[in-house]
Amino acid sequence: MNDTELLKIEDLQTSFQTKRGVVRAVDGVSFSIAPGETLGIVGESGCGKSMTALSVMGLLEKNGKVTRGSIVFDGQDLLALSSRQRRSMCGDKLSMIFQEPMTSLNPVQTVGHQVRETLMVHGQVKTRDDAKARIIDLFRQVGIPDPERRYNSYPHQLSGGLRQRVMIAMAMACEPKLLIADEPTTALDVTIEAQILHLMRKLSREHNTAVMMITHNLGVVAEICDRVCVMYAGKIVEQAEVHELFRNPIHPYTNGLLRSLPKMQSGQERLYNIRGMIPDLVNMPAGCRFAPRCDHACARCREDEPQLIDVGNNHLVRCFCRGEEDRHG
Amino acid sequence: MADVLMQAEHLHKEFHVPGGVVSAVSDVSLTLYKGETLALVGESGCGKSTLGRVLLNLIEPSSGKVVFDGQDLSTLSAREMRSIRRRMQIIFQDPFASLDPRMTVGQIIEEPLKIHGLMPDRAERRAFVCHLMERIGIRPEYYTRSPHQFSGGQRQRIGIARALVLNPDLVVCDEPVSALDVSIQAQILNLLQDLQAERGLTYLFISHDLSVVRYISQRVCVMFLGCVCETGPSEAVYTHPLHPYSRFLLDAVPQPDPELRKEDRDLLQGEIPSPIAPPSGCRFRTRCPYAQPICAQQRPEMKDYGNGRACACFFPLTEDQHE
Repeated sequence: MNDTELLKIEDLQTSFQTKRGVVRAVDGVSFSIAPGETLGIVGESGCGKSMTALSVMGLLEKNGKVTRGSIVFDGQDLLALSSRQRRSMCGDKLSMIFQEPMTSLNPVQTVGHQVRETLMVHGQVKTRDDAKARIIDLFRQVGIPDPERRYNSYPHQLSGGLRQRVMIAMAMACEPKLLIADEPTTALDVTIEAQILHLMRKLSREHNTAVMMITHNLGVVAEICDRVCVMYAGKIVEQAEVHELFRNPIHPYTNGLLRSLPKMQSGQERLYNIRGMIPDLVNMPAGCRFAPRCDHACARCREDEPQLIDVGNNHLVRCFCRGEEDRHG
Repeated sequence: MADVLMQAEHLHKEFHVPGGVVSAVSDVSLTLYKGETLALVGESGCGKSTLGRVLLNLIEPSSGKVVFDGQDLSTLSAREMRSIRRRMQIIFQDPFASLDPRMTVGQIIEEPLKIHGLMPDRAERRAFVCHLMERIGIRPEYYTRSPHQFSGGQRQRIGIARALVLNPDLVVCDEPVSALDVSIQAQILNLLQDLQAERGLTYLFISHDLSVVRYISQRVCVMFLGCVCETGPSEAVYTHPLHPYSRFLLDAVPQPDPELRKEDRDLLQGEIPSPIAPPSGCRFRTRCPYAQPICAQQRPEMKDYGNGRACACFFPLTEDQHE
């Protein structure tokens, strides 16, 4: 195994059977994550970012499946494993937290019980007493005040911020190598969001846990990611180290997104806006999928599909006009 | 200063819930000037949406009064209230829940005209609605389509058209872009600004998104747990907040610039206290690093700091605390 690649996804295609036809929610996505690295996957609704995460976890709905490509995690080809082998990996070496902690916790069991289950299933602890001590320690690490008392709380007795901390405690219980976080702070207030992001960064550093951060929020990306993939309509359109991406966004979509964000620092006269809407996934435009909304699109963009090319500094861009123009000087 | 459109004085709103009484709005006074955008910002449960509805008299205040263009709303008869409602409208957050799925787009937009008995001539009404649809960015051919055939951004445009069809003076925008993707959000914000310029609208813009508020508003009113902490021109509040809560709130926003990471900056600790049993004195004191004994004993009054700024804090931030 290459020690710079904890997770390596190659040419991933995830398709869904729907009433209107086959939807390729993820279409030819490749990227890797190094141990301890935080990779952001950013894009708007329907871009395929969550489906990429669910494909890695093996949690796709019944009508969806990986139809092409490979997912290698920690030296093992996940798609070649039996569902039983995959399950034993999930929650142990690989875990996930979701946007809405209320729907991912069981409402009729105490939070202590739920975290204990994770530990016992993966054989991390032998007895209930060992488990309790471990969990109280975990709760303390994720900043839950009064952890002994909270051990016996039900999810509805906790605020949204505390529930997300419980989810993080559960996800970190077996010290996973990779944590997939799907919009973990989207449902939280901004002062609580700042606390949770701070906590995730701290835990990732202390335990050298890699994080795949799925988000629509470019602020969250800038705050905690090391590298970023920008997705649009099922494909990665740009990928770069975080400072490089924000300093030098090349793809017109990334550029448009950044320019359409209102800024905190100064009043702006007018926001840039990307015209039109995301394409219908059942009926994708030919050529570049962003071409119908792009100010720079030319005839070629509407016919051929651009490839993801390296323009230097490990900065990958899927665009004829901008990428090649930049590359050729 | 410009003319006053609406003034609220010592508004209170209490809700009886199992387990006690929630004071969702507690002694709030504010002024809205003609043609401006005033933003109400704060985290969930701070009372901003309730305040918006109390100002429109959609919820009756427990005490206090609202004066709209010289008329005290609490003294109006139902009939007088109805005629004044034409002048104040609201746009809601969720464009999926706020449009009746069984009505066509045209019916949704023209309904306010029918309710108020305006434009009884059908053809004239339809022409008027189509004209408005075109302005708002929905093709008039879609007059007979249903809301489910539209995306979130288009639905929000329909909601805006419905609010504007009566040609109101005041529009309360309650988190109008929170459910939308970034690229669509920018389209709607620009549309709201253009409409304001064309029609001289006054907006009360309710939002938890501080970047959006910075962009759209001239003045801002920061709320915490039912109380107003600070009001003032947006520029001044954002660059030099007076209330400690305003500062922590502004500092917490993750910026789309990795150079501005807040690795070591101090974060606001703890969670929002229960609105059923708010802390005594200043409601922010349990999370405030600057709190002193007096903050628990007495509720700080709104104090005027000049240049349109006011703040309710015994120990407002000074110039060097901003560094």
